[in-house]
Amino acid sequence: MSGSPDTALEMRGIVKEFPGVKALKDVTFSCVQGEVHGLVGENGAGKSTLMKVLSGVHPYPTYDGEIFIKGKLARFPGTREAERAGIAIIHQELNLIAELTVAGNMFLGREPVKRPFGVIDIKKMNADAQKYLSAFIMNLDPGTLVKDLSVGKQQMVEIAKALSINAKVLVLDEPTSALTETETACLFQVVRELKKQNVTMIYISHKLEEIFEICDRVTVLRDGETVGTQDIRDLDRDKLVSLMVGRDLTNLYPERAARIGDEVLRVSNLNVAHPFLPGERVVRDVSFSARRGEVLGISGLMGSGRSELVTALFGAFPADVRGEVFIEGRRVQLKSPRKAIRDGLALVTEDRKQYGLVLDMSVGENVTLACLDTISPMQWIPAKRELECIDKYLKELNIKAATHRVAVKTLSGGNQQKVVIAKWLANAPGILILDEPTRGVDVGARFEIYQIMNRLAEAGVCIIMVSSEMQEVLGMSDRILVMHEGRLTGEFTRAEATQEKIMACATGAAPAAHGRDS
Amino acid sequence: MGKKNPVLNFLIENGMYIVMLLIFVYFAASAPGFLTANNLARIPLQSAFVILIATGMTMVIITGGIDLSVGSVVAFTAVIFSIILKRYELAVPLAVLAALAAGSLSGVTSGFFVVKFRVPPFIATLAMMTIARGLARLFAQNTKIFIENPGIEKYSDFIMIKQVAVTEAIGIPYLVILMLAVVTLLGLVLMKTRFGRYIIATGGNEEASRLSGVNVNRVKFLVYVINAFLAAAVGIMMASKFMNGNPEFGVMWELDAIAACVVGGTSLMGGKGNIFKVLLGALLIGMLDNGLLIQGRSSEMIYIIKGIIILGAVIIDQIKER
Repeated sequence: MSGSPDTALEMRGIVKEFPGVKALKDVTFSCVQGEVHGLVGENGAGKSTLMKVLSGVHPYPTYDGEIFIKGKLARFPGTREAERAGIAIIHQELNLIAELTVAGNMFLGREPVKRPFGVIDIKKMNADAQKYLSAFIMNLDPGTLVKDLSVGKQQMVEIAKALSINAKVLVLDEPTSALTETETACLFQVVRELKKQNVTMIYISHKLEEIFEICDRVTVLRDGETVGTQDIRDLDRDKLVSLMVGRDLTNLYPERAARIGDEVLRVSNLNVAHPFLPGERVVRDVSFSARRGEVLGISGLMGSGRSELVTALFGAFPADVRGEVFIEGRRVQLKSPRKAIRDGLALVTEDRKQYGLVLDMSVGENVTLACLDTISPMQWIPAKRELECIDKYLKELNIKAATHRVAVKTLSGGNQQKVVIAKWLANAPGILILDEPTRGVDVGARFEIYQIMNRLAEAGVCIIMVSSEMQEVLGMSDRILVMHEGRLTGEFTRAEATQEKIMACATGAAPAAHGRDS
Repeated sequence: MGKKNPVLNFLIENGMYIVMLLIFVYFAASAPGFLTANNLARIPLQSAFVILIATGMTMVIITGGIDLSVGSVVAFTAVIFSIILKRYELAVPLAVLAALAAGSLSGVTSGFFVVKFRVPPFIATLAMMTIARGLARLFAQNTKIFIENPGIEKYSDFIMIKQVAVTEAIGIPYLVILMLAVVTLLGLVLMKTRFGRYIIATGGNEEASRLSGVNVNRVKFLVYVINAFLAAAVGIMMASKFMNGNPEFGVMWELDAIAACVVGGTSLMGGKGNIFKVLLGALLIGMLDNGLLIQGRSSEMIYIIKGIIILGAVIIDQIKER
């Protein structure tokens, strides 16, 4: 059926729809036996969905199209069957049990046992584990507890586990996002070794330098479609970037008539330590400023330190933060969210269910949660005053809820997001930070959120928007900062910014030349 | 929530009230003497101490915590109060203040460990439970400390406390009036004040609350202090009522209080609860105790039946959640 005999895997005409969204529209993808095949694209391009279809997370027949493994039609009703066919995914989040040994994890659920009592044969298990570990130059004692291993080593255990289940196609999903440079080098060594042993690998990464270093071929996805598959030798960074972003801006972004005023925020040499890796930093020497009435976009790929930067500014990042921050010329300490709110900051967090809303509380109670200090200076909450505040923002932001008394969890994603924004507006912040303000929000509510941002900017609020959506950053920002591996690698005005320039800075492909020349 | 059957829905929505009504009717029919004004008035009086503790417990549970120490704190405070009166012959108001402070200190300690060292509330208050009980027995040297010679002038204030614990006004015991006042006060704090709102928010989503500027550590700390303060007040009244400080006061009361909270619909996951419903929950349990006793059931049977009813109440709540 499939092209040549050495085609390990082929996916044809894959279409996957979710309610309201077509995540994959006619994707074609194939791997040659023993190659390392890069899979790239912007966030939301469909990489993860495609891999979920391949691995049976989205089982047949919830998608359209055909999958061939070694030329044979495969229709996986679940992940187990996909695993049996030799498909293994190493996820970004590792799935190991910290209190078990390396071998214990590798053979979890299929431990060799001694008859007649079914006691685990630890000796044999360790020996078996050793076989797989040493097969690809892994210097690791199978008796070590997984919790005593670094993240990099843990990932190796996952890979060894996959191989011990006889994986033929190994999918590595952003494998280096939590690794140090040394660990990354180590991983690449293993990948090369596996390649020699004819294992096919699909390598998903936002870091283009890695794609160029390790992959043989690369497939680019954009908006759920295959842009193309090319030999890595025929590409350079610029070409790859333009394949990833090459599309027109649609007219999704409303006009804004804000007057940009004085500087309200100045950050100088901000450094944020890594929460668990000692010596590592997630934000490095970042300096920038923002003005009244300005929308400052912060772009960057996943793991570039964008969210860490704004969370630290809000006094909410659980690690050491160094540097100086001035608000309206006054030096402020980044001690706690409470303090940050008093300094006039507001942060609409990335994950509204986890960090933005108290889901069981009512819409109204969520709206006033951050401004109760002002509504009720003496402990008692005056019902009328609270209601006035709630009504004002429900109207102003056009929040669609039956009444303000319904639990906020019953609202749609877009309305929930507007409730989070309302909570902060009720506090009249001078600086509003929005982290991924339109994630999981439908197109209509999205437009409304942009309009709200514009109105605020016009009223003189300084808006800082973190977004991984290139179009959104380009469409909304007056000025754009780009981050890569914790550093600022680019700064553009709205006029000079292009998707290609931003992508080049975001992937570390461009030298930080655009620096501070605006 | 199933919308198919309106009758079933109504039953589930009002489960606790219906169960309460059924039990009431059952005892009225089967336990002679249950349905008399005298007996019915006894139920809130018998439950008053546990209800006082349960109101504080409700706040703790809403933040997502639990407090196992309050029963021991009752005994600890009763003993401290009695010793201060007897040995040091301090003026009664001073003795009351000292005992309240000593009892509250246990809440300060639990709260401190929960907030500062992230000790799970179950563990922190379990430790406090055994420590406070141990201290009570140690100070009392394992016997009751009797408060005697009440005739003396300086004990007149003390008699007043005793009267709160045992006498009544216009047919309602002072203790019940006090209990209702506390329930109303804390019920309003929970529903109508900023602090109450923060308690619910903290239990509902601690991280989101913290990011909204709520001082979640202060909220969590304070609920343990309030709960211990109420337990201390109960300890003082117990000592006054029985004229002694007994280190075995309040055994298992924390569990009775938790049961009342749960029957009253308080979610152990935090974020949800209503003190007035907890009052009803406690009265339901009190009514069971009272009715079963009148029926002449053995205490073993009463335990078993109570357990079953508690389980049933929670199951109704679980179904309601779905």
